[in-house]
Amino acid sequence: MNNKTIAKVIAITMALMMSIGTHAQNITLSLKAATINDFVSAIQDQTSYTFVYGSDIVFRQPLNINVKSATLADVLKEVMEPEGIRYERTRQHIMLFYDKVAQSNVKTISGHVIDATSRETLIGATVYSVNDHKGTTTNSYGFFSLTLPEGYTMLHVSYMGYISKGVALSIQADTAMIIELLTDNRIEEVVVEATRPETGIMSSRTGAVAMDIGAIKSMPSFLGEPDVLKALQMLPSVQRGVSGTSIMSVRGGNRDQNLYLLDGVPFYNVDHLFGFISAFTPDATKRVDFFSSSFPSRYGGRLSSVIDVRTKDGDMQHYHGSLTLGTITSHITLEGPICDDKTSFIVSFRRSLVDMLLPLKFNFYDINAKINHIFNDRNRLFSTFYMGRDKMGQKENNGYKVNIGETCNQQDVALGWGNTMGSLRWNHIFSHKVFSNMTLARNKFYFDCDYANTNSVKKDATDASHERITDKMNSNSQIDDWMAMYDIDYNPNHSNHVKFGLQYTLHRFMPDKSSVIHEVETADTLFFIGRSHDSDKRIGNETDIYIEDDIALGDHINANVGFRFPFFVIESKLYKAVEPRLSLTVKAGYGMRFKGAYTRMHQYVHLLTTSRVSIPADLWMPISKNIKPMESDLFVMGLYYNGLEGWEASAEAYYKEMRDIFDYKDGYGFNNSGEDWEKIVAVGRGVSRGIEFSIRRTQGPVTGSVNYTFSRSERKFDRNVNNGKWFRADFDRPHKFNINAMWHISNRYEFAASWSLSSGTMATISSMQAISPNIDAVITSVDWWNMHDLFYYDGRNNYRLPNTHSLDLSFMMHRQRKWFKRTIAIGLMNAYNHHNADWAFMDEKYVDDHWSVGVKTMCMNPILPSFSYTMTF
Amino acid sequence: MIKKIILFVAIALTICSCENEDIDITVRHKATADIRAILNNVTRKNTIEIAVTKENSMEVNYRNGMSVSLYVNGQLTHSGITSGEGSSYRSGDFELTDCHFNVGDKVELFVDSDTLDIHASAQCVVDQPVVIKDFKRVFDERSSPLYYITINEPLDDGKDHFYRLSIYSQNTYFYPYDYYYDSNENSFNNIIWKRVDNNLYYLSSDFSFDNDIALNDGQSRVNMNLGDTVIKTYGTWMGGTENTYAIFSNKYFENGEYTLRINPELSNISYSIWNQKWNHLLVCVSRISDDEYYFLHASTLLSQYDGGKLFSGNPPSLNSNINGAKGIFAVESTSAVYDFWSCVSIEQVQQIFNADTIAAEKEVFLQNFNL
Repeated sequence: MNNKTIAKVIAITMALMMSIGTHAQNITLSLKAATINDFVSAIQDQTSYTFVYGSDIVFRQPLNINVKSATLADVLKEVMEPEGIRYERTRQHIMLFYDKVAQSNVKTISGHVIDATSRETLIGATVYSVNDHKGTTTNSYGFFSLTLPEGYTMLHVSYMGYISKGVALSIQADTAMIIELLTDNRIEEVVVEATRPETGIMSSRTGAVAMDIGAIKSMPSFLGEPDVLKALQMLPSVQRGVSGTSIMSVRGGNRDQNLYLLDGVPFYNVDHLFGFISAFTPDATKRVDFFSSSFPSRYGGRLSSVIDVRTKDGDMQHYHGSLTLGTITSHITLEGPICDDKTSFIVSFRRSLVDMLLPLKFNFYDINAKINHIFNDRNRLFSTFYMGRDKMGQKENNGYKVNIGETCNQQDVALGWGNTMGSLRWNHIFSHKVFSNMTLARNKFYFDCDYANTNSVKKDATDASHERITDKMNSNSQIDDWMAMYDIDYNPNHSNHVKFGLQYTLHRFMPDKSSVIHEVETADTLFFIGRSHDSDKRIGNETDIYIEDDIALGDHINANVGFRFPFFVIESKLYKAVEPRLSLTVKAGYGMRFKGAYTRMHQYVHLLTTSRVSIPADLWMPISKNIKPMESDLFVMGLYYNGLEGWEASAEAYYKEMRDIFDYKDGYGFNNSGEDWEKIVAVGRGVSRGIEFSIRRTQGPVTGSVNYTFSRSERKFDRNVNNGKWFRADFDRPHKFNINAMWHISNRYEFAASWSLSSGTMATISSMQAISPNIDAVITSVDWWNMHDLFYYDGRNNYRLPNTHSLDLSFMMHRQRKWFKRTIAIGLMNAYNHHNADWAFMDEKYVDDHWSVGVKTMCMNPILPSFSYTMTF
Repeated sequence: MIKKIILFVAIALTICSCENEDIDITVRHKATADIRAILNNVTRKNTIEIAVTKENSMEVNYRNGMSVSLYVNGQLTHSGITSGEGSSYRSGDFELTDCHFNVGDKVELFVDSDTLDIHASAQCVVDQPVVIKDFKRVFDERSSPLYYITINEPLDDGKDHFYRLSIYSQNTYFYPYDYYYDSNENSFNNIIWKRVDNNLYYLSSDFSFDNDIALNDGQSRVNMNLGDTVIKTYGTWMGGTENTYAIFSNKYFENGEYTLRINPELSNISYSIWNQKWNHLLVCVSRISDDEYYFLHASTLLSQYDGGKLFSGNPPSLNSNINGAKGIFAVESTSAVYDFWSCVSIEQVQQIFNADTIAAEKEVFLQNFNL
């Protein structure tokens, strides 16, 4: 069976899977002189709906009805319209209400939406007044504020993965409340109009997606390790890097143009294991918001995307946790109350096991910890701590025993790198309309390398007669950020939702600190000489002011208008800018929406790297007085549809121009030093454009998506790069298609599959060898043996590697035991083991008495089975 | 145990299926010539090198039998076929003798091979030379010469200009024919010097420029090694020859002037009496085209490129300014200054050669150049 046949079979199978789950409910009803309670009971008996209504809802006339196999919609219309009762149907509820008499007085309902069991705040939950047709969503701290006319109101509160709730309220004054939702095993999305959430198809923004952490855990994962960032790679706006890694390019941007936030604090190195595992632990993660355009004004500092990861707060009422034994890591998570309903904690620890099972000196671990304390209804404090470490070492010796007169050489290398982050956040509610958050944070990334080369000579039989000469080298680099942020959410009325704030970051970059020690030890002498080098610390002061307003312009038009004003001071030079952020949504009816957006962004730090995987020596550096900040303008237009229940479709087109971006000049690469980096980079510009199509199934036992993207991304620099000509960017992959499906077979079994096909990545390969030049017309001592290493490279990224495709599968089995719930996850990445070319290099092979030169390709992600066992208690 | 087995299987599969055994991609192209034709208006003898790859082959070999024609202002000045000694060494060369190029000359090159279907052509104009305004020699602590060369850019047009610095030298070796060693004074006495016969030749000299900001293109050097190892400069040349030239731009010029600072590495400088020498030197500063500058720059980087690995940078692109082939064609416009330097005193030299002899040697040396 060839690849095309396999592709067809997979596509058809997965399309069939996704068609499962659509259903219709027909009603047969025969009632005489019935009350509303009789009618409700009869409908509830025949459907899965629950009615929500207040005591004032009654039939003025006794109901007589006799229908057979009628649709629920027809029955409701026949019964409710004559009685003047309005109804609103959601996935689980039918809410009944009377039209409101217009009220001149308005009041504000505010509060938090929380998980009823753990009392965890829910981010992005929908709070919607059914009879006022007004709604809102909770912010990053679960807070909402909704201004409504006085009088009776029916609130519908919903959140993905939770059972929706109807709340009947009689509003007489500003009201504070906590709304609790119960979890639902089915991962389904509730679509409610008029709530203006920040992400998703209902949002006024383009390219804004919220990832459900439950879905991320169910998706096929590299070596069984669920990964927040790899889940994002399925989105049409994201191109992945080397297969198996979480490295990604968003809409033609470079990989350092993505802003990763952990509880609002920017992260620099977000990877373990050279990019194959991301630093964000799913067990500790509550929600992931992803923005590929229409960036909210509170975010800045990167050109291409924002990945905002929010961690769990910890259960306020019960102690529980989970323990997972996986193929590559094991992790344990514990959470519970420190003081009931006042203080909670969550701790999650993850560690790789490779060094325990194999003779490899490599391991990584990370710790997520959080304490959450509620002082009162208006004040809440969060304390977050993260520490991640990767360690690698190697020891080599020449294999000789140190006999008398012999020399023993030993070399030791130890590498260590990681992030440490701590933050304090204080939520304060000034009023029902004004919510504030203050953040103080410190984030530190370090890379450390120790090398020792020891030569020992044994002079005689006594140990004391050793002569030992040791050269030791230590090199390290650090980034140390101190941050203070103050953010305010202000809801003056239903039509406006204003956010503004101030952010300050002190960046301290220490790109290269090294020391060398030469140590000589004999029987009676010990001396050493040493030199150290400490490159200039670079201090950057970044201050940002932002303001944005999410505006409802009538029932059909929503706009989001924002501005961000960044000020960056480095080497006594001030860079200031204005970043407009504009988004507009027009509802065209029948579930159709048109959206347009324009965003300007600036970036003040950048990654110096030549590697396509993540290596610890990748160096983040700030701009300088000579190197201007990178700047981008992004235009997006889109068409969106959600008129069919449980389905969403979208098409987005974008054009992005990037200026003052830079890259290493041809032939130069990272030398593990921040010295003189400005001399070896070239400044240029980039353009990317594309169109993305997506169809998503959001309800039913099978959910998933089908996505296709056509995109191009190009770069142009001065003559030091590609002779000044335009060239395809590293991540330029014109065609990307994927189909993802998750089948919730039952409460015990889940199955997920993902098949992706995309154009190959760009590579720079040679067309022919080059002769060694002899330009002086005189005899020079050319090294003829080295001639084989010289090749013509006609241009950067001059060759597209073959198309890549792979099928990833996962199967999860849940079972409730006496003391815990057991989950076994079995996965298979690249199930039919297709050799996907991740990069290419020149190589030679001895064929027919001569060396034949050509290009070989490498695949980083062949077929990989995985297994994990999780106990949740 | 099951988990261990799964892990081992996973790792084994990873290792086994990561790399294809066979070469995956063959680059398709017709037979292509690679031409090095960097000519100079100061040297009387210039050489054009030509190599060819076969169709769809990446391997390059020097090629005899290629037809070469050179026209200056439309007049054929040199023509012939490439020839060499039969081995790869020096084969594929076409030597141009008695070369004279003047400022403003339009020079055209044609390389043809009907059998290989190769027809290549290129042209250039000889540019105005740079002015060597001042030339100073001092001695550093190693008793090797340190030169200060002040150059002036006559074109005040605000554009980028590019230059190549090279040094030609003729070395004469001599050795102590007779002497005795005075152990009390720990010195050699009554040395009678004798010249090494048949050891008179010239070559392009190596030189170092660690302290020159223009030649290092703004790089400063930080040497963290404890030993004598010197970090390799970016100006090093391909293969085994290093610093036979350096290229630079007017980026660091002030008021159209710049003073170069170089140390010619006159090889085998030694305090041993067994291998002494003196040198006739020609220090040349050539104006070069931007095509040649970027070609030479990329060539240098290419020689140091550790290519194609996962952590490698992007390889430099060798741009070609030859139609129908790859390579570079240029006629450099050069200014030069002569110097004589010996690692022993003139008095010692004159024990066996007087000033007339040295002047005669200078004459022989300078005959190689259009000065």
